[in-house]
Amino acid sequence: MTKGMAAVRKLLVPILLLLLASAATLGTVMADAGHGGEEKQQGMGMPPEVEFQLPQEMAVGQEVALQVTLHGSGPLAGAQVLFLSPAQFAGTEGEVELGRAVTDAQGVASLSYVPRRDGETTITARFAGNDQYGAAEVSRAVQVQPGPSTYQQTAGVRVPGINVWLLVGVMGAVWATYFTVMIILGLIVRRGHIGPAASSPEVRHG
Amino acid sequence: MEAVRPVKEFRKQLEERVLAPLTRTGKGYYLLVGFLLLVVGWGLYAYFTQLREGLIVTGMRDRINWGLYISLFVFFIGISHAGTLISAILRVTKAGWRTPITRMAEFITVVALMTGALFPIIDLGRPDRVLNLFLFGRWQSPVVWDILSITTYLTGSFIYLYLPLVPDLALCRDRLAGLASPWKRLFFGVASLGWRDEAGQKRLLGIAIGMMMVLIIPVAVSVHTVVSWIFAMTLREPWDNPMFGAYFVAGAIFSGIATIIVLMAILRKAYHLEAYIKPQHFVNLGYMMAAFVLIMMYFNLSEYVTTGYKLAGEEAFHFRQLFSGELAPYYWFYAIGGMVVPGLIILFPATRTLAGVVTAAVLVNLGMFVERYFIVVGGLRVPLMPYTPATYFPTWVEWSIMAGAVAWFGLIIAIFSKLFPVIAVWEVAEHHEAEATRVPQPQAEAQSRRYPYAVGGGSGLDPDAGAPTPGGGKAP
Repeated sequence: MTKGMAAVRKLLVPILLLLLASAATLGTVMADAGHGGEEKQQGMGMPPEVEFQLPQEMAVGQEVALQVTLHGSGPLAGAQVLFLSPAQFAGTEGEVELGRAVTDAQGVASLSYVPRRDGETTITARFAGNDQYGAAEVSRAVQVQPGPSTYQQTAGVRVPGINVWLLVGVMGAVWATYFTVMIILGLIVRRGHIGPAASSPEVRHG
Repeated sequence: MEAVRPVKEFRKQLEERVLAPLTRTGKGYYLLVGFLLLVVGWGLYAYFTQLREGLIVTGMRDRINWGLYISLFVFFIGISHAGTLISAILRVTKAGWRTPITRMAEFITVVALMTGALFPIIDLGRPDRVLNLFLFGRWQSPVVWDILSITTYLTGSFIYLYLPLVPDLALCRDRLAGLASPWKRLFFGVASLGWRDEAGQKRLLGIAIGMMMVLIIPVAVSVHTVVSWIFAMTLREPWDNPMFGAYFVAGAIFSGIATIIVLMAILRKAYHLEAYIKPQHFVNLGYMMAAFVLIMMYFNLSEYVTTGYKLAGEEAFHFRQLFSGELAPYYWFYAIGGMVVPGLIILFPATRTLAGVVTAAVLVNLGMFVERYFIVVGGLRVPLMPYTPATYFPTWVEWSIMAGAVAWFGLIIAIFSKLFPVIAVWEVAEHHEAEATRVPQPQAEAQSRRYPYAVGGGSGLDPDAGAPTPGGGKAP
């Protein structure tokens, strides 16, 4: 009996460790499966109806509201919508995220947006899908009118006379001195040519 | 004992000694040049590796994107102040003892600038992008100011090196007519500008040197101030220091003096110039170095006591990394090895010898290099956001390029020493003449005790009284 108990005790620790490891592995596999399942479900359903409302006029620096309404069997609440716009930077092209918004009880997601560059651009509203509805997106071309600069200078004190011309003046004075020295060297050369015949090195340098 | 040797005899011996390296070259010189060329070649290989693979072969990454290269840039630009201090300031103040060492100081300036200016280009990774500074540079940028000030200083230093060389080049033209190689004779003939030692030419040269010696001092000060602004005008807490300009200029002069001491010792030994560069010259420069030890200590105290008392923002992190953290070995080496120990060496008469001063100078140079390193890396290591601080250590590519640059510095100095007299013969001779005519013979001995560094003076340091004679010694 005692021997049997000892044997069980000896086995207990490895058994527990094995159980723990199995549980952890199982949990991970299940979590992965669940995650995969959710991803699988995304886009499996019908996409919702997307209504994208943009203001008639947009101008640089002027705040506007980008509104998207999602309808399924009814208003789609609690869905996240991404607002994107095409962009180019340092030779790379892609989409820049303008912001994200979540739909309310009426299925409306609204994002406050301030255009920073004028000209024609495209704004895309993208719904990635959920367990009921598939992914959907709508793009609209918009014309952004020029406006005041969005860059606001907040720091700096203008001191009269401290500007690039001061730098130019200082540099000019230094280089003018170099130039004068070069002219003096030219005069030394000239005197060397027209001066009296050189005497013996001993006299010249001795 | 004769106090001031006859002027003509002195001049003859001086010319023989100083011009000898231009006509005779020993085996040791070729060995040295060969070795330096090998190291430069290795450095070039490392640089081509960097060009081929990109900056990924260095230890620099997105958070610490300046490292050994920028530290070396600051270091070399710093030691370029040797010429300004020794030559221009001492010339302006009419310090007569400067005459045998001005040429070497001016060499250092030009060569250090030529070396230091390479590092920002190496650091760029793609050297073609230097053009962007000219195409898209803005006048408001300290980087553009840096380019302007360094090119202005380099040009001015070339002129300032060249002007006092003209009479000596004429001397080479006349004295070495049958001894130097044809291309050297052609060079001396053209570069001496038809110098005839005529009164009008002397007057004009005096005016030109006078203009340059006054101008080069503010230009040199501006260079290191602008270099410091590259850091101080960047939004990094450890560099946010209004004293940075003065601190960098003082550090530059400090390391400049140390470099000239080291170079003087090497050239003195190599070319047997013991009769002209005397231990007292080293001691005098040692005193100047000691004065800058105190100035540097003061700057350190002033900076770290004020910011450390407040420990505002990221200063707390910077303090920890500098005094007890990752950068502590560097800081304490700089503080103790680069300031305290050299200061003590100069302080005590027993160690205030030629060897002592040279040892102190080597320590100062090492300390100042380390200081540049922890300023650059330490500033970038402070996290701007709550992320783990990055670490940086140079790779073999960076160490190799550094070795190549140091070898390049030595190589150019070695080549210069075979093209030009390393001592300004005419200045030393003029100073000797002035001393000889000014001091009546009976008083000369007493005077020579007061000014033992007076070239040709008849003190215990006089070559005739035991030290190697100017005309004697081995062929360099």
